[in-house]
Amino acid sequence: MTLTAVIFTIFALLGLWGALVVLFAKRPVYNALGLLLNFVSLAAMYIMLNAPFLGVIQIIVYSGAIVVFFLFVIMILNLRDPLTDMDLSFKGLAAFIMMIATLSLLGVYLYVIKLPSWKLGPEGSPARLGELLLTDYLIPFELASLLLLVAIVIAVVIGKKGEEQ
Amino acid sequence: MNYTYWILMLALLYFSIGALVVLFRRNALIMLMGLELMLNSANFALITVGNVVDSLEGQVFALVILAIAAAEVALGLAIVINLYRLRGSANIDEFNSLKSD
Repeated sequence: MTLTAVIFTIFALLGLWGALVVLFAKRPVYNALGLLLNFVSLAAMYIMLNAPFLGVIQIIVYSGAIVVFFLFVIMILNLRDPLTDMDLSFKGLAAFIMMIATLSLLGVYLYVIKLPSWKLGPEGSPARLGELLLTDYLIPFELASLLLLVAIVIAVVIGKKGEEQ
Repeated sequence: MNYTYWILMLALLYFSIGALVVLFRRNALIMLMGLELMLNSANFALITVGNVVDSLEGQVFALVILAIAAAEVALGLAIVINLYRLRGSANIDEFNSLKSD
């Protein structure tokens, strides 16, 4: 194993730890911090996978905006008590078994098909990504900006206190 | 040893943990965190496959997914705040007023 592979494995385990904290933690702030750990280690792995722009954007948008947004909501709602919302009822277990079956099927499929051998592709620098976004993928790009505008308006409408009802 | 396989399996593992969060936690706030985990693992798989097939399009799709995730979490958290105002809790088992029986 090369040094890069070792560092990648370390970050993969850190991300796994963060995801497991999200799954099992009782206090919402710990859940949000587990999410943060997962996002940051994913950003490091993006940078190692030749996507430096996406890695930086991942840190700015996910760890900078979304996790802080979650923490703000936890603060506004004053969630101080430990949550006891883990539901291990029959329905959940049935869904769990179905999910494990589906995912292991997918894993076996990935194992059986002839995956192309590993190599690093072109580096996703901001210039090249921007060029692609403004030529070949202009319509998804503009639709995403429209979606963000609509989301802002709807979040304001939903989030305000409804005195008029 | 094929790294492609292991990285895709890692993305699958993250996705399944996110799905488990959505299945087993009943608090709407924590379920939103599970959704974020799943979207991130999809991004991870897209970037990996984009590397392997030698193209930048995986990263472009990942950027678009990132914008969609930001919009989704803004709306979801607004809904969670409203749920708390309505009932004082976000346990989704309490919100069953559309159930017929």
